Amino acid sequence: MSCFEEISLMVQNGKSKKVKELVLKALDDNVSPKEILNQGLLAGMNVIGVKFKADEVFVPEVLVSARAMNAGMKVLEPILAETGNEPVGKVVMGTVKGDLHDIGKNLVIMMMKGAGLEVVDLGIDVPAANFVDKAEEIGADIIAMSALLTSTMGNMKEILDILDERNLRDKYVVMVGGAPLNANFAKEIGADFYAADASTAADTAKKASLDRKAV
Amino acid sequence: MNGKERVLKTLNFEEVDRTPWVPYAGVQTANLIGLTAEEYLKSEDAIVEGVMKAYELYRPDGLPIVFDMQIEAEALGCELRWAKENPPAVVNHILEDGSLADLALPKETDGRYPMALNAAKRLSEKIGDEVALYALICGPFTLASHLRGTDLFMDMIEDEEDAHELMQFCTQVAKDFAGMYAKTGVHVIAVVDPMTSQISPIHFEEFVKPYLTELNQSVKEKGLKVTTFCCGNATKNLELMCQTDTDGIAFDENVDLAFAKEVATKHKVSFGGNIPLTTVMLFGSPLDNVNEAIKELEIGKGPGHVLSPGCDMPYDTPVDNIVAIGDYVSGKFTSLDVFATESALQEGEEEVIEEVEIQPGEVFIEIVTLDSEGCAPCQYMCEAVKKVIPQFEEKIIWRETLIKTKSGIKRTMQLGVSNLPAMLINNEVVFDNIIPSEQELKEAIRSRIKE
Repeated sequence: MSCFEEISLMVQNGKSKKVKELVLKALDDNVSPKEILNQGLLAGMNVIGVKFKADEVFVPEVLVSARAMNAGMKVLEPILAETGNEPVGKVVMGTVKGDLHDIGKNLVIMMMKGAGLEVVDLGIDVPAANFVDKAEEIGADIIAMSALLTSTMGNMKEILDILDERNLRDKYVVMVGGAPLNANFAKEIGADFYAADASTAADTAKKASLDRKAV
Repeated sequence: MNGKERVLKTLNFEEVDRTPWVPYAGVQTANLIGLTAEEYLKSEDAIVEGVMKAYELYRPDGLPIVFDMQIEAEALGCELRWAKENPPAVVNHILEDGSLADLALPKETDGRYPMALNAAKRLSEKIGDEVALYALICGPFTLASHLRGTDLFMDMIEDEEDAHELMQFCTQVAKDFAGMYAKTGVHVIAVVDPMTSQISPIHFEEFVKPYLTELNQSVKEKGLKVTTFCCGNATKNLELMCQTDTDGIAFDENVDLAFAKEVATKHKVSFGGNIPLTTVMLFGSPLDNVNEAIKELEIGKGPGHVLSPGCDMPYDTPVDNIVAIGDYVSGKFTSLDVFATESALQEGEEEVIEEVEIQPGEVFIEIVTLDSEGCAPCQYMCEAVKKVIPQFEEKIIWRETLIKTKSGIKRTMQLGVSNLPAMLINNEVVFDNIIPSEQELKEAIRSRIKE
């Protein structure tokens, strides 16, 4: 088994300590940090994402895998920063105003990180303007919003209104998701994408970021 | 057979005269009496008033009393964030840092327990003979995640003993609350455990099934029925839910009703659900709701099926949507006022209804119905006509017009129909809100045979 396969497997199994050890060892062996990240950590998380979508693993398994991935990332981040590793894209993500649900949002963030995106977590109960302000501040590519309640999903529209008011709508890709939503709702409020699950959200965000860079 | 008997027999997996209807009237009931969710869920009087109003309007066979899964967590010390249109949410998970050893089991006097128990008692006295009353309690796994947050998920993998210890505690909380409710005269304890849809069957088997089984058995020992509710995609765990000694399972639109029926029937467990909350109940029209009910009644028919929304109906669910289902299921005439909102909407395909030319010596009868198969008065009206046809030889031309679209409703209203089903003779409304006797019908026909 290659060191990448081993790291990927340990991420899938949620073994934080083991992942950290393996990453350190690979660095000692002069393996490129970027390859460790892409072929080891992110590859492992990707497998979990696919399994999650196929109902083969569930929230607890994703959480421990994400934590194992993060344990490896912590080792790599300072080194990658030195070498100027660019993320695939930048995302600001939060649960909209009035809504305190964070499990779904956190899963999406983990999957997005696993897809090589940089994600700023705005948390829960986030006022509409904060999404736009933060996106402007960090030069985001994507604004992503989550809602679990039928009574708060309407608040997503406010963010799109603010983007329109400030003439920023074309600057960002806007994604929405959450249990009561569907593609029609996303279309109605003028969002660019609806994602039905965390794994799809990560794929969509990655593709949208790459498409933007290709233009 | 009244509603209560219908529900209780169904939970026994016995045949009943028709499928029982249990609208989960929770926060929507607050809206019904002009209150916010917070005002409603904090007031015993408001709950009694709201449930009574739902009882009058929705023609239910069973009703929930307080749809709030945070009562236990609150009594245990979790802080709640209140909202206008939703049940409260837990803000802080006290066992993220705190210790289980410091928690005391809630008593009848803690938090909103007195409010919920008194409301249950008063409602049992008022309507407990007619409808099955469901007292809702927070399922042990969901209570455990209220207390511990997402760390509970990690514990299941890394600190299994801690997770089991917490589940034992939460099961005791649930058993206690169920025991208190049992003394109020309610008939069913509904164990609502939505978080279980987030875990694998392997974890369900280890961390949920033994505890639910213990809880369900303790409810049954007190002579009550017990149902197990899980929202979200519970498909993978349905089989295991049926193995917890429960009387019934309930689920939302993420679960396929036909699949659930198959699984539940195998275990002789009742199954309830699953009218889609958002697409149909909140955003659909009354007609959409009736059509959904028709579809589900057809799929679910046979012993065990309870027609219900997928979960607590959203605050803004239009009253007419719920009334339309209630009227339809209970076999009552449906006032076209319920559908009035549809006629305001012009979109949708135009329903082409052929005009019938009436020849001399003939009479044309049209019965306008929602669906004569599932709607008792519709069926009787059709039968009444069929019965007199032979007596008029070939003079009667008749048809049944099923109203399925907005334009159909509009046309019906233009004809002057105010209730469905209705019988028109020569395009004139003759019987509306009444099924004619044979004699009445024959006279009505005779007097209208075209000269």
